[in-house]
Amino acid sequence: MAVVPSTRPEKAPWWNPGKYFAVRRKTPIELRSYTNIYAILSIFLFLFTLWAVMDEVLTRRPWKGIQEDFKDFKITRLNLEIRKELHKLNPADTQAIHKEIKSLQKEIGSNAYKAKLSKIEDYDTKIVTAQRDYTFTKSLADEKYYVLDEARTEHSDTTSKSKTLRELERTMNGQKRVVDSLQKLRADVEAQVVPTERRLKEVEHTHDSVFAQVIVLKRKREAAQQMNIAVRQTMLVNYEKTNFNNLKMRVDRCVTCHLGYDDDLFKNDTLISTDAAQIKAWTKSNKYNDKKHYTVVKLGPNQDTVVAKVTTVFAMHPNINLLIKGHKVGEPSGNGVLGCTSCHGGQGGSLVSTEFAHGFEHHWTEPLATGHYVETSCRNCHAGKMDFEGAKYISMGKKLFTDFGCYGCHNAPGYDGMPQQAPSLLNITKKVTPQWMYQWISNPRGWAHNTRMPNFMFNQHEVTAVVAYLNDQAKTGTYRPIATYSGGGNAVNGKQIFGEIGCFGCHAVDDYKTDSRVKEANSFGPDLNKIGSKVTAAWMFDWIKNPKNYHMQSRMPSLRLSDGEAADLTAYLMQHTGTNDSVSSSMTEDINSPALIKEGDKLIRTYGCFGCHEIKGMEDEAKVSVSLSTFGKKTPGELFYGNVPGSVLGHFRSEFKKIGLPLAKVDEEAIHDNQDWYTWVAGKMKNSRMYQTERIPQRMPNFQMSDEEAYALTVLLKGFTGHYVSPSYADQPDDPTQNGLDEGRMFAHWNNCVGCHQIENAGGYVGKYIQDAMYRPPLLTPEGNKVQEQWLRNFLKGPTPIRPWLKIRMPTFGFSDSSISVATHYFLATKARPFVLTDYQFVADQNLLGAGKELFDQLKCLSCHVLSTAGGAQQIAPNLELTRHRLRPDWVIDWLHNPEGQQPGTRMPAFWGTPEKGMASLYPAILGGDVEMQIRAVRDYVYSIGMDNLLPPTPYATINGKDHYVYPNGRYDVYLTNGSIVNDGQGSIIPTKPSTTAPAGQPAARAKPDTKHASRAGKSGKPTAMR
Amino acid sequence: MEGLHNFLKILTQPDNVPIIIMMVSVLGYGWLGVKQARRNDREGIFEATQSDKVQTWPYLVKVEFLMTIGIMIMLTVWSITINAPLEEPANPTLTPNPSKAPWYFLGLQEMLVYFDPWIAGVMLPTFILIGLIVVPYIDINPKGNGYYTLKERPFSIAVFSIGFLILWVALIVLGTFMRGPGWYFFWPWEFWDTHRVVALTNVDFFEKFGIASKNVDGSFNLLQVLLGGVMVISFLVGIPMFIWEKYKEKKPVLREMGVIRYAITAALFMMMVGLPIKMLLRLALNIKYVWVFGVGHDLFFNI
Repeated sequence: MAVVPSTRPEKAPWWNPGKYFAVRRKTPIELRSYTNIYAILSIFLFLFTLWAVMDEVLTRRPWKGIQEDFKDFKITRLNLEIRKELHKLNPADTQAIHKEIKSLQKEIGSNAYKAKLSKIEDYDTKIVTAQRDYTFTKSLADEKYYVLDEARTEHSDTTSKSKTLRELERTMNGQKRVVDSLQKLRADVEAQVVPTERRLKEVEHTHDSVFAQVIVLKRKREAAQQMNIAVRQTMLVNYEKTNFNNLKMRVDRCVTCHLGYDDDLFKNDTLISTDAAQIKAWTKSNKYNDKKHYTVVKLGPNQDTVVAKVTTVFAMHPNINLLIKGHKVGEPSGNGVLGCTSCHGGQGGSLVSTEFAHGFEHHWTEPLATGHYVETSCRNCHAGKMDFEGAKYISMGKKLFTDFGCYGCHNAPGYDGMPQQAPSLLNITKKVTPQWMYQWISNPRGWAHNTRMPNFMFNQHEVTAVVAYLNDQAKTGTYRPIATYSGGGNAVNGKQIFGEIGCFGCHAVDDYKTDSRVKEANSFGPDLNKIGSKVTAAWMFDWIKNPKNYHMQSRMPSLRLSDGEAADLTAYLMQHTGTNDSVSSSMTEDINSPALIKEGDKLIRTYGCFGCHEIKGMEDEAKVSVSLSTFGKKTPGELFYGNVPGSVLGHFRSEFKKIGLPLAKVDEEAIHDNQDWYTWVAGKMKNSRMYQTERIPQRMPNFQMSDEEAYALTVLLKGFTGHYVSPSYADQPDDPTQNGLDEGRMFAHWNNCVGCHQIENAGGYVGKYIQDAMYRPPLLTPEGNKVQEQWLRNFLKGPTPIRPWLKIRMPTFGFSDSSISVATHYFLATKARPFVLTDYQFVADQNLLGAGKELFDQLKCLSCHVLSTAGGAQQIAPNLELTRHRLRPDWVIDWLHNPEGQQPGTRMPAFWGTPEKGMASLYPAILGGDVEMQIRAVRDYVYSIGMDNLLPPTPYATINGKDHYVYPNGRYDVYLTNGSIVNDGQGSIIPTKPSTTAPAGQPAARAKPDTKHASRAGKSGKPTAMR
Repeated sequence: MEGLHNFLKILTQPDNVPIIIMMVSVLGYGWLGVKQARRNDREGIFEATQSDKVQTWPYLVKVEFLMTIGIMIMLTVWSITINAPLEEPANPTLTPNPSKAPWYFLGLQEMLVYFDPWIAGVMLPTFILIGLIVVPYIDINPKGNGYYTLKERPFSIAVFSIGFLILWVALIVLGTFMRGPGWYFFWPWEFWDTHRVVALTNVDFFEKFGIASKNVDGSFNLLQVLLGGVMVISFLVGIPMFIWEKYKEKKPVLREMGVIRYAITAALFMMMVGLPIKMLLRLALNIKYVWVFGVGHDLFFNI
């Protein structure tokens, strides 16, 4: 047992810990002091608690500093604007205003003026007192009068009472006079004051209107000064789904820092300050100075003017109308209201640091999509769309994916059930020789520089095997030519025909050059520069006469060629010969050997040629490669990089950066050896067999893409994420207009309508080769407003000439009814019209027919137009007899208003002027010179041409206070008093009662729309069915 | 170099901070315990010489209070400097690779490499619990209460060292830092490559001697079942019985324990040392199972 020392050992100094603790150990526990330890620990706890608070309030809230900076910038920017605005004003004017205000204010402030004001006040007090005295006396008088009256009734003595009353009345009158005189005195003084005050008000009003802009800006500045430092967020309720299929909200707080996103004071690169001292102060500012939100630029001849310009964090969104307003960004939450991360990606909820907020943290699955990769998210909501406005690369990627036939081997969202991209090979030997096939498959681009057929990189033996199988399977082909080529034909004529009828809308040859590999314009069909060495003349002749005979699914239309024309064209095209220089040797093996055919069979099945081509015996094969439905979400761990070193992958990154199409930024921390999604796909697109190793074969052929094409496909593929967006946010999949547009755009791309015609203000590529706009194919941008559906259907089934002066021909495509529906729906959808059955039975207004005929003659319509189908080559305008069945009546009104606006380059004169320059009639005598009525009259007259029996005349009705034309079919137009005519469509109409008085056949007078109960003044006298 | 860089990254992950702390404290306290035990064994029991026992209140509570402040400081600094180790949203279609249990169960997960799930996941944890419960009943050595000693309790301390320090703590460390994608073993200088390929050449013990585990038709080879059964049972039962028979006369401690206590202790102990033996067989000799046996198609008894 140790003995407890009775005394405490000498204390050791604390700055010598060795000694201190040695002594301490010897000290009995009861005697040890813990004061120092307690003090030290408490101080530390206090300090670290302070640190925790600082961390919470400042370190982890960098956005506060950013908001402070924004406030500073905005105020400086507004000061700049105010200065600019003031500079615009005429200094003489503004000085005069200020001077006058000053002098008036001085006057109002002077002692004499103040004395007058106090005098008025004085009088007011006196008037109140005098008025009260008078009122009281009057009240007393009333009382006395009552007493007097009472006495009179009771027949008692009234003398004294009436005397009192009289006295009171006298006093009252005296008091009244006092009040009046006081008021007069007051009015006199006031008259001296009022004009000054009125003048001041007037001048101030002038000031406000002269300085209106400045005042608005100053108000904005005041608002900026009072801006709250607070988190700003958008909540997208039930926007998406978790991985467990539950609906989930998304919260975006991006605008907490990106405050200028919708503020046009902060257009990118806008000047925010020219004040050198201010800029210096910002640079020194502690608020958030590790990241500058502006660039300092030196301007001026001596580089001495220092200016600061907005950079990204505060910059306004570059496409505010389409992408911010069009997507309802920043509105209070609701249907279709989007935030920032819906398109841009990033960790919308995070505010801790730029890296976290932008999602560059390897556990965040959707980091900020930099560069054009922001376009990938368009697909999430607009899955079926073909062309995205302002999103070049995803649009291009979609077209390339279609045109390269990627869907032949890969399942991809939105590409189910697409027809095969390339020609049928069932009868291939009737078209080309096995030797040519060998040349072609060995190196397709060696033959045609812009072909979409990829290179499978087969060796000589493999190519021969494939040719052997194709040759063998074609032996059972059923193709027999319909038209027989008997030789001859004039190549010079052929060349002319080629240029005239519009072959160059789809094909390139000689002067019609092409580079694009998107199936559009004249790269749509094959390049014909070597066609003479490829196909036989007999096949060519039958092909251009009857394209569907060789290949039922072909997109090549019939141009209704005569035998002579076809022979000339054949002669012309067969002149173009050439070879595949890059393939030196020819086949050495016997292509009829069964072993080789069997080998070819296996190769074709392995490499999936049947994905694009129809090949006998391969009809039931499945797609050979992986599905791409969630390809964009694959992680580097799921991708195979083979033996490709990181330096090569890094090279792709730097190469794409060099051409201005950088691959998206990735979280470097999480990426090993440049192995990220983007480098993998970019490498695969550029060299499809890049990741092949000894053990892992790869089969994807090489499409020899340009950098831009490869890039566009990376953008598209990144978008294949399978990301679910709730229907209330996404493009409505059952919106008929949207469906019409989507299907129609695909249709127009698939059939190259846009090669010749401009639709939705895009396309019409043949225009390049036809100098005179008049000889170009008609623009179809207004088509949805213009033509009647039935006519369009008949026209697409079998085109009949409308404009005989055009040499270029509308081909016969042989569209099915469903394809025609797609086209019709598309044209209507471009004008937001519903795809419904419409009755175009038009009833001309008989009252206008006379005027119409007169105008028709006066304007000499028939000097260009004709009234029969037998228009010769001299005809320069369409046959007006067709109008009734071809055009929509309301469109004709638009057309007559402004022909140039509807079809630029038209020869149709604007008889009534143009809306821009003012409308006026050349014939003021007719219909009182009313332009609208004259246009209606001409339209009605044209529609009555060729009608033997006009339908009953048009009655008038006043519906909802407006004049209406009512047609027997229940449709009606509204004629407004301001002269414009609008079609009310399906607006509400008050049910009408039949009028018994309307005599049969007698038109109701236009001048008397006097009854609210319009009747159908038809022969039947039955009530009009109006909806 | 890249591998080491990668190892450093794994070492400093917020997830792994507790494991580092655990390593340091287990080693530190282990060292402290051994140091004191050796001093006691050498110089006589120090604790027995101390008479200055003091009241809990205030002398112990005072120190505990100070330590509470210390812990609070530590937790505050930890929470400021290290962000929560959150990962991507859970995805039922995408399993993380490697897929690891919570760190304190990594020892159990490691056992799954060597045994069938029902042994590693069910039977062995059950025996660990039962073993811990019966410790007071089978430990009849009264020495070592209130002081540190190695000499007076060599067996108990050896069991603890194997069972806790090696089979539990070391396996956690192994599972955290050396098991990479595909649950493959990676040395610290090796990069955790997702696409790593490792040859799978494990065979059953008796296959080494040309005795197949199963017949061609898929049924069990009776010879192997017999030999394996004999081997496993003689390991679990035979060795303890042999020791009992040979030493019960010479070693009084065995007599004091009695046959039942001895049987329980021996069975638990043999199972415990069986684990490292199996690990060694697997790692050094590529032995898959020593005994392949089962009933029907579902019930397997592979050891």
